[in-house]
Amino acid sequence: MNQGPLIFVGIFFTMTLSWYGFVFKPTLDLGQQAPVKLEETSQLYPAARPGLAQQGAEIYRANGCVTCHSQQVRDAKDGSDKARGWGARLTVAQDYLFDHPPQLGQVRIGPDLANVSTRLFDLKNQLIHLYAPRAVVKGSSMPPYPFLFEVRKIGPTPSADALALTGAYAPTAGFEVVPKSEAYSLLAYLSSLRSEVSLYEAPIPKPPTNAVGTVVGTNAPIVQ
Amino acid sequence: MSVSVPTPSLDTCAAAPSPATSASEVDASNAIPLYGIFMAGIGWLVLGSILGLIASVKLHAPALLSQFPALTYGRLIPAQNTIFLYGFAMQIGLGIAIWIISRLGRTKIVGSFAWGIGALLWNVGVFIGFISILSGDWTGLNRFEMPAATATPLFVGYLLFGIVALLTFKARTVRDLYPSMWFILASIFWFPWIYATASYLLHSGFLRSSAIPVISGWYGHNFVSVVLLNLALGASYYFIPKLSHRPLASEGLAIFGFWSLLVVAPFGGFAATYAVPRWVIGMSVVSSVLCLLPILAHSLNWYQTVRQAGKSPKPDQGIGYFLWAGFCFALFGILAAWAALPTNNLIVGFTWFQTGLTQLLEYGFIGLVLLGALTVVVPKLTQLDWPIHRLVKPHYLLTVIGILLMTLPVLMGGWIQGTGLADASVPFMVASKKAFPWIAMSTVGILLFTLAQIALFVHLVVMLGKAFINCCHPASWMGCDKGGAR
Ligand code: HEC
Repeated sequence: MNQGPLIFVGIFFTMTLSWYGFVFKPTLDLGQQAPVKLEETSQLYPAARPGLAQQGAEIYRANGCVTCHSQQVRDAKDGSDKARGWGARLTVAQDYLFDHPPQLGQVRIGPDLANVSTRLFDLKNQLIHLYAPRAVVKGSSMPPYPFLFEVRKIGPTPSADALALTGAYAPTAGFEVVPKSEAYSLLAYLSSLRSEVSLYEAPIPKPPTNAVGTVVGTNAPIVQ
Repeated sequence: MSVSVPTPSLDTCAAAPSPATSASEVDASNAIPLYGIFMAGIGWLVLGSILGLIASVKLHAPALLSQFPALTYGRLIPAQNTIFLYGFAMQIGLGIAIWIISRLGRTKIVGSFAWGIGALLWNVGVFIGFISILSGDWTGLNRFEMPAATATPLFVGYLLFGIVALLTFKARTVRDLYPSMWFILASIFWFPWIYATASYLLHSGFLRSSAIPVISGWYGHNFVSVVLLNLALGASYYFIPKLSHRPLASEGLAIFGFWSLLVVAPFGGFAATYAVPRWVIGMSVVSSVLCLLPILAHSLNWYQTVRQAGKSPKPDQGIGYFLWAGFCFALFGILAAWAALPTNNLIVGFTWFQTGLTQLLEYGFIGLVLLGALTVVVPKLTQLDWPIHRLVKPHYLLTVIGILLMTLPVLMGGWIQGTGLADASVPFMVASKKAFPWIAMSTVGILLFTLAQIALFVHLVVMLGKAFINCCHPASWMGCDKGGAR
């Protein structure tokens, strides 16, 4: 192969092939996608997230929750996700139509969060989990996010928002831990993570199985 | 058919002047811009490895340094990733590439000044990116972490690199195109396309979200598995025959590997993704499996090159980097093909296994090749031996052991974690915790690797000092006392 131009043309050709397949075509196909009307409720899906949750998505992105948490549920034939109660169906492109950017994730050091709102039973406890995961789940490897909270001197009346921390995680006497607005918006975002509607390309089998709400072997924080 | 690297052994000062530019002249003319790039690249590598080390320790002790948002796990990892890929691999890869172009073509770098400006812009881009990521302003996209503000310095910096590389290529006095040149050319053409496409589509914000994972995944995969991989392949094809003092075993295999990889590899990257269109996943699975062919062709080619003609002449010391890199490359090919099959992905999908695979390619092959190439090229640039002899072998050993520890236990841990996760009756945390002893081994690996690169950086500084003293010594102005070149 001593022909410079030939090599150049070849490289250009292979490049174009891949560009057509994975850039041009998907941009055309997926770029057209719009919210769809749901059969049962005739609501549009997905709906844009409310403002606070939108801000929470930014906190989620900025702090790289995606490095440990995925947001894509696999089909039953591809893994145990459904059996673990992480979602009733496969995640599809329609689900992240309003996520900028979608945080699909590649590695699960923590559980999948695509439908985490279905497992957030106690929001106060969820805030404690963000402040100090090990206060909720023993031996958790999730990092604490103390910078989303404020430790302040208790005023004349203790704040109603203060976290109910005990033991090693409690602040020094006379102080309280209060969530900053970032913590609330992150919580709002987590509460908005739910994609359990039946779609044409990803139907949920009827009659509905008891998958929703069963928390088999996940680490949904449990009040201890 | 066997071909040999068409460069003669190093000319000595006494040699008769040859019509074409001599190898040592080529090296001397390129020394300053290249040395700058190498220092910067290794500097980034040290920084990135330290960030990676902190992140790895934090997995075991999550509360460590948790009050600093800049050092939270989810920012350290993207920062480390960006620094390794853009600060180290791309920068050193291009430096080695242009050195090979000018060596093979027997010409000086055309436009050293533009090259220097390009390097400066590139590093400014990476620096802004690094600061942005730690302050939380990152895209959230793997391998495309840096925010929009970095796109211009990176792209313009790269264009200067690319143009200088092409001009140097055009100015070559040896017309023969040795295989290394093909790989390097492919890489140099590929990058501006994919980077411009990704920057335009992903930074502009007008792309529908549903297409983002495909576009960013396509970019990230092409950046590593085509652009960086081809730079490393070009370097391997140059240095393996050169250091082993044997001609390349087969040009045919190289041609086959070159084209088949270019056709097949760009469609990979989605074998372990689920929430994208089915046909994208399907093509990626096929791509991962088919990639095994070129990968084995290349590895086999190198193996046969080194093996031929028995034990003598003895290969030069630097060959070890390349042989281990070749091993990692072959292993990567086999495991990636294996993991892509749906029945196996069921187990290893979303586990540490994926991290191990990525690192096997990025550190085990690309990183190791570039570090090996650098340790060979730097003494030629300065025309001095590495000044601290006692650091040469430890760097090699620590780097290789570090990389093996960073990858193999992670793969193992991931597989164990995956077998647990596949069984829904095993609680998530129980399955995850099983991987942790293995992950701890990889933390040790990162530590060793980091130490090796710190030593290398120190060595580069000492070498620079020596070269400076040497060049400013009156006797050296005659240009005839530069001994010690290998
Ligand atoms: C180092 C990896 C890591 C990072 C980074 C991380 N997590 Fe986690 N996360 C985990 C692990 C491990 C668990 C499971 C143990 C537990 O619940 O603490 C978990 C659990 C959770 C849960 C409970 C899930 C369930 O099924 O009940 C939520 C919610 C969560 N994380 C949110 C977040 C958010 C929000 C961020 C970013 C601010 C984040 N995580 C960052 C590792 C991580």
